[in-house]
Amino acid sequence: MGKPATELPERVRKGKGMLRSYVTRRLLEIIPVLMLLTVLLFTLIELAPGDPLLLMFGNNPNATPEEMATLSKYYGLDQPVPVRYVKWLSKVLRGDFGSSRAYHMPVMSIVKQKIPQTVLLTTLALILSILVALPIGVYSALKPYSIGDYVQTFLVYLGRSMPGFWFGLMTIIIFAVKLRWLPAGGMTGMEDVRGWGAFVDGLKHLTLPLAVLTFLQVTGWVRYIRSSMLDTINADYVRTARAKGLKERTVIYKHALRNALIPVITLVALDMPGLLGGTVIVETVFSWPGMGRLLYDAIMNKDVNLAMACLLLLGLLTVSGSLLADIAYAVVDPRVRYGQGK
Amino acid sequence: MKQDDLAELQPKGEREGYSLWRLSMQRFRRHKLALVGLVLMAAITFLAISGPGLRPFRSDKPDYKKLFKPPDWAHWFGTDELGRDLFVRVMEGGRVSLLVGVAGASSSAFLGVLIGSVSALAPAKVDSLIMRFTDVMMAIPTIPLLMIAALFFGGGILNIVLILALFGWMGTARLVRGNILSLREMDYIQVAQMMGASPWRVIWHHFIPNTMSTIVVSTTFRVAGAIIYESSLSYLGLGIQPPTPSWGNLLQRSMSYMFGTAFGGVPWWLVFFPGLFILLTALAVNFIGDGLRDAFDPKMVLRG
Repeated sequence: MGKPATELPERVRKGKGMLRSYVTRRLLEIIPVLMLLTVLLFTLIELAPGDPLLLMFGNNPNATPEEMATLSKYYGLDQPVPVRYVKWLSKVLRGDFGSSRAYHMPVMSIVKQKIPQTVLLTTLALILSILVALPIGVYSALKPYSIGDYVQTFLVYLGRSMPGFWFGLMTIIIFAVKLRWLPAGGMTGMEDVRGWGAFVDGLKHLTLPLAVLTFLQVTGWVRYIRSSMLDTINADYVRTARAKGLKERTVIYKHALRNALIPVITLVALDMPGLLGGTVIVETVFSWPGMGRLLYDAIMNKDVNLAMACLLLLGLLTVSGSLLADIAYAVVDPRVRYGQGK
Repeated sequence: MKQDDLAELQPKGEREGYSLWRLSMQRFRRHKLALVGLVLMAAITFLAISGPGLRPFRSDKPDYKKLFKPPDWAHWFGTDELGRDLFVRVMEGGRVSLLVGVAGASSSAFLGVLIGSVSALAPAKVDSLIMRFTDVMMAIPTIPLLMIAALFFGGGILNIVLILALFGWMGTARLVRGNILSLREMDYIQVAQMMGASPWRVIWHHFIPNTMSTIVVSTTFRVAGAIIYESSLSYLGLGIQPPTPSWGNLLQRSMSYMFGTAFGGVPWWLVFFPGLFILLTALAVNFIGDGLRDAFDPKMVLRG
């Protein structure tokens, strides 16, 4: 350890070590999850009724039984299931998902181009959702049973019951088709614009998908933020802070809100699959060129390899999102690193 | 404590001597949103069953003189690209969507109860294996998984219900397992076991009745989820296949005309009404679910 380490007090240094070991442990825990995911995917392919060859080449009327047998041998379909799983897995681990039926290209090179768009949309939606949900949740916790609180409750019910794709379609009809304010889909416009124009163009294309995704997330989270905030407001340490004579602002923002945020981080971690699932739907509705749209197109083309790669990577994105949130949890809540948490 | 003192401790309006279920139903009846949900649900179910009979149109009969008519007094929800009455089609689609919603929710709940209780009662190693598997299943985004499953299994009512069950049992399984694990430590269960009750008696007389409220509440919420998942899949063209109408696939067909038709104008009603019914049904189910949850919660004391 260098110089700074000696300057840190004992407790903090220990805490940092604990954090590192916590992160390592969580990283190691991902491995069985991903292994199981691959087993699940493989089982799904195996369990699927119908011959995978027929699924891939079934619409070719010229294929003779001999040719099908050759193809079966070529794809290794004549070998027992565990052998095929291990072979498939060792290829997947090297990033080789086989070749795409529709694009006639290695699956990985197609998927690679789509990851950044999905990460961009999801991350922006995540940040925006937290920024919107927090003030609403805090407000309705501070003023329960006010008009604002009832409006919030109503919106939450609406968001919980709203099919995401329908909401997307309605925004397209209203804002893109009728009012013509915003583009209906895609990520960039037809015209070749550079610099500032390109930024504005991108922003315009981003608005509707981002708004839909954010609305669905916010309505999912507000309730939890509200109840978490209500819990902390009634906690002993908040009463102590008030009794000390601190200003109300300081009590709310420094004592109550900070602690109320801790369970919210867990919620974000747990909600990662929901967020990415929502992204898939929103990408499909708005033709956003990401993994979700790619998955949809792959499924429509019966492009099994491509679809599998998309699902596996979406799973990976979900797990890494949850992991990041867990680490954030450990950073803000020392109880977790000292092994008192889960 | 004397009997009279005990009676005073009871919340108002809840007399002693009633079973948990009876008390819960009493509380449910006082939950306003839940009653709104119940009425809404009853109305939608009634419309779905008898709605097509209310209008003099057939859902499968094209009328080429009335293509893309906006809603009016004859066609309440307008007509579609073949001049078919949308009201009748939405109502018939409701039959399928409600059926898939209820069947999907109850079969996934059944699977969840089965897996959850096996996990809770199995040896620790099996239990942790099952729970790990549950974690993995929960870590995968549901919609993409359902899409791939629907691709392999094919769409159709039975397949969609099957897929919803296969990929929707995790939440219930966790709840049931947690519930049984905590019940197992309860004194009265241990006494029952000590007195020589057979495992089946304990499961049948103690675990299941005490877990029932949790199961009922989570299954109710699941109906809303199942309807939304079915409609999402059908919208993507992977769920219920035409000509069988469902709220989802009615929306899928409307997609092609979203930017206007050859006759000019945007037939917004084709998108609006099927989706509105999904929304209203999910809303009703969520109201009922919240009401049930509050009613079963012994800590909740309703005012008035």
